[in-house]
Amino acid sequence: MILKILKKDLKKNFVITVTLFIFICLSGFLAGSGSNMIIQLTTSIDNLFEKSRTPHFSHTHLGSLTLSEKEQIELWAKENSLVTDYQIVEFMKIDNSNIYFGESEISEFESIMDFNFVVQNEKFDFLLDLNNEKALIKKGEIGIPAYFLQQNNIKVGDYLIIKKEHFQMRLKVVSFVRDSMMNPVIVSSKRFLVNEEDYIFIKENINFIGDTEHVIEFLVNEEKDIKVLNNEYISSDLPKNGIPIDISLLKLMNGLTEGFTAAIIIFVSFILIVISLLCIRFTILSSLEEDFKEIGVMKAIGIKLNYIKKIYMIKYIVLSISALAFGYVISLLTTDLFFSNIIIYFGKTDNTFFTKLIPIFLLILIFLIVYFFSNLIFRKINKISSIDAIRYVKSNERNGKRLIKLHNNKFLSLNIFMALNYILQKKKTFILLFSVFILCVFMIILPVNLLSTAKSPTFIKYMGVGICDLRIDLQVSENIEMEYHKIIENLENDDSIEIFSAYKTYMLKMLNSEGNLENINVEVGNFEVFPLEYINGNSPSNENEIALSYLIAKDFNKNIGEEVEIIVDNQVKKMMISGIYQDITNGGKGAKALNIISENDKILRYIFNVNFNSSADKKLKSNEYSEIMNPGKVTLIEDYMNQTFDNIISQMTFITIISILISLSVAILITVLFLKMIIAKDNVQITIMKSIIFNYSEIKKQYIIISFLVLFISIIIGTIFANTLGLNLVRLIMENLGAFGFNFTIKPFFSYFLMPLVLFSVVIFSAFTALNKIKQTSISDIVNE
Amino acid sequence: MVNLIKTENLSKEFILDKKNKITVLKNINLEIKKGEFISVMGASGSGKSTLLYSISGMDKVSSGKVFFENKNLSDLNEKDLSKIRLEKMGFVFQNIHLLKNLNIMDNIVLPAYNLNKSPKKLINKKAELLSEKTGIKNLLNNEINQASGGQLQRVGICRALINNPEIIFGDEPTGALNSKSSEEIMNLFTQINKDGTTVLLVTHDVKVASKTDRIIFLKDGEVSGKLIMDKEIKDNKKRELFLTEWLTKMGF
Repeated sequence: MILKILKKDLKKNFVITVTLFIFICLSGFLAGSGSNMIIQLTTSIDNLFEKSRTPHFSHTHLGSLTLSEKEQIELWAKENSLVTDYQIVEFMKIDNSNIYFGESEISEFESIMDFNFVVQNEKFDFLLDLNNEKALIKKGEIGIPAYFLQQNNIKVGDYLIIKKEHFQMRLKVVSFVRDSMMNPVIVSSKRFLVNEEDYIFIKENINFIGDTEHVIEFLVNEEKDIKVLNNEYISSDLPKNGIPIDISLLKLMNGLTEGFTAAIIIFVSFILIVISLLCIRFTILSSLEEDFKEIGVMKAIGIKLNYIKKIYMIKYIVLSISALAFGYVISLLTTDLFFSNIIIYFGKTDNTFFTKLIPIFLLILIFLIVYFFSNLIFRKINKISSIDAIRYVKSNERNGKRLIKLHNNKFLSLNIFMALNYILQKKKTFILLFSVFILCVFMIILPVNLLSTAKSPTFIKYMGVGICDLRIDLQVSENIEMEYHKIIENLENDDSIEIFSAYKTYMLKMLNSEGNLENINVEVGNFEVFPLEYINGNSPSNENEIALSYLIAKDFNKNIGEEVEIIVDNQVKKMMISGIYQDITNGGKGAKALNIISENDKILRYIFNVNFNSSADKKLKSNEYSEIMNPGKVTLIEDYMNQTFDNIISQMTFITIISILISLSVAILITVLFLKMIIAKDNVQITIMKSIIFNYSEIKKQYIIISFLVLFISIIIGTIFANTLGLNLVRLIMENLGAFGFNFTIKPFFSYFLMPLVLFSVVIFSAFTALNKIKQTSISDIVNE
Repeated sequence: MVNLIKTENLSKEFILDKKNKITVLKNINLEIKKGEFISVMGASGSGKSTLLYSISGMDKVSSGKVFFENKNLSDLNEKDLSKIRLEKMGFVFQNIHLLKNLNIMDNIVLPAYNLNKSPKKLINKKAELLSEKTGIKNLLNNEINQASGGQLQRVGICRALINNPEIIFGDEPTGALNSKSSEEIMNLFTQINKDGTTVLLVTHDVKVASKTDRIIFLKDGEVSGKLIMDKEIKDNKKRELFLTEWLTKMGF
């Protein structure tokens, strides 16, 4: 009998049942995929770190290490009871313009990655091949970072060629390598693995750009010792011309991109669950209303309440189980789609029996939520009085105050009045549609606004740099002073330049709030020429002033007008904070000063900001400068931003498109579901109206206007939510990255015209589709029932 | 008198499933003249309501023709049929079927607002006049759940009259009312007819039918008999008796 009831219900409410099925199935699919992704990501990262023997703590050091410094480090490690092992790893950086992939005539000069050459370590911090085994590279061979597997510009069997002046070396690519320290796309340093003999040969024969860089690496007994070791190292006199890195930071960076994607997937699944619950509530209440009389009669003749509930609940139980099971199966079949990046960067691990159960537990949880929620709604059966139901009287019906009356209406056309009146008289019914439309609008407008902001040239204000046309980056090298002056001379002699300014970046030590010295990149130059936007205060105007990035000011607990101490040429220099600016690059930490001259402190790089006259062709100038300013890296400012955030913007674009597609799909489904339901509910009224007052086209118009009005109001509310609640959410995240007071740079055409237009189009089209059933009901079917 | 409605061999079938169909009306030939007061009687399932909806254009006939003011309704599209019903016909149902989203006044004026032939002020005035005539003026600002069944039926009658239709159709208009309310409603219909509007009622109630001038009796989808009430009989009871005797002969 239950099967019969289900079959009959499915036939009667096919579209509605299918829509509910899709919502629940999608939420199950996404919950399954998202949880699988997180499990795979965490186990894969753990596996990679275990196989690589990733160092627990390391500190970079820009520049060479003397023998005495190496001995110092060795002694310190041996005497430190926290340390179980240590090593010093040397990187040899080769300029991108000297690297060629395959037979390409064009070098990799445009790549934003730094190409560092290393040999395989002996004790730990191994680079692994794609089988997660220690990569073994012979003479004449090279292992290139897994990152390039996605770039599709080189493959196993190709050659990587190093060319510099008369020197040329061909290395055959035999493997892609996974690097637990430098895997993530957001880390611009990449390690290329060569044989020791080749490494020595390159080092001896090529005048490579930049000093060697070292990383001093440690393993500890227990992970809780890492923070202590970190503090001890920083307080020591050991070489530390760089930044400290611990294993938790490495795990975070490795997991960030995919983890973020998985979090979004689970978030969308959650939204779909909420939408499913709203739809279920609506369909149950509609069923109860439709079957009001029948339920009353059943109660009157003595059928137990629980039995009545069972008859209705069975549909939702069967629906949820089948939809979730189907969703789970699809998630299993589509794992490759979600795991592709994880497999490339970390390798796939076989999950344990327990971890395989986690997605199933999640789906059971979803089912229980749906079950108990439906059960709660069905409690309304208790309130149906048998007598009232038989008499077809709905007790306790209250009329709210009537806001509009037809005979008083002067301005609205009849169809618009009927539509608006309908919404006002049935406000509770429209909770579902309003809620879902608002959610859809939120899920479209928020990512669109975020993406517009990230792509906007004004986003540069969050990067701690002033707005300019072109930027030249000159990394430190043996001939840096000569190259610096060459660039200055070229710029001074170029009539097409309106203005330029040069900045140099030192690595200096600053006293933090705990009284320890911390390495900070301090950029020195005139920041009035290409001003930044300051959260508080202004650019430094004299040599005793300094501006701090938001995160430094927060960490050091400093505000404008207060003093900080920095070490310049081993002397303490007190400087007053003139301003606090935003910077999400370099971990959000840096400082800017007007005039610091140091004989001994390390210069990391020079940067030149250039503005051209209005008549200059910027692209042409950029190409010209790339030739003459070599080895300086020349970038137009739009390209600089695109390259810096290229992967993040690609990811954001992907998520935005997915979010829009999901929202539009949800909008279509909910419009069809809702209209089908209310037309079924209003069947008698519609048939009467069609028979004696309106024609089919007029009635259709009224329901289209209803959809339009609801959507219009939802777009306004959803947009407000996106720009307030959504903005606050984004601000919270951006503050942790170093941007305070983040605001959207909205493209009004996209956010306020195109997206609403697309949404209106799909909803109106769906409404037309849903309304075809109006024509079919004849007066004979309903009158005198 | 001029023919308002004429049917020629009107038949109506309902398809139950792929194999089965049921013929509800068979070769009905009728003429309804302007100004007439007619009732259609018959047992349950005889096709009375189906006849009403077929000749009003609400339902499409399966075969035969229906002429309204000499226009063949089968030749008209849905929009034109809808316009004719709005402009020329009024309907009163057993379950009244007022629109729940509108109050009483708005239910009455709605058809006239949609026809849009008069200014709204005039329409509102007319609605007030009709409500006064039918004794429900004090209810105009009420919601429909704030009125009794009899009062709501009068609202239905006002709605049916608002566009000055040529004909009022009533499908068991007193079916859901008590005897007092039924009496009042029938008096209203009588008055409407006296004012010149053709009235056609579908009923199984002898009391209701006895107040009309002509009775059409349907049996198994066919016109089984026609009776013209004797105008000389004024007494209600005598009219009922007269009709009952005839119906008995018809086998009702």
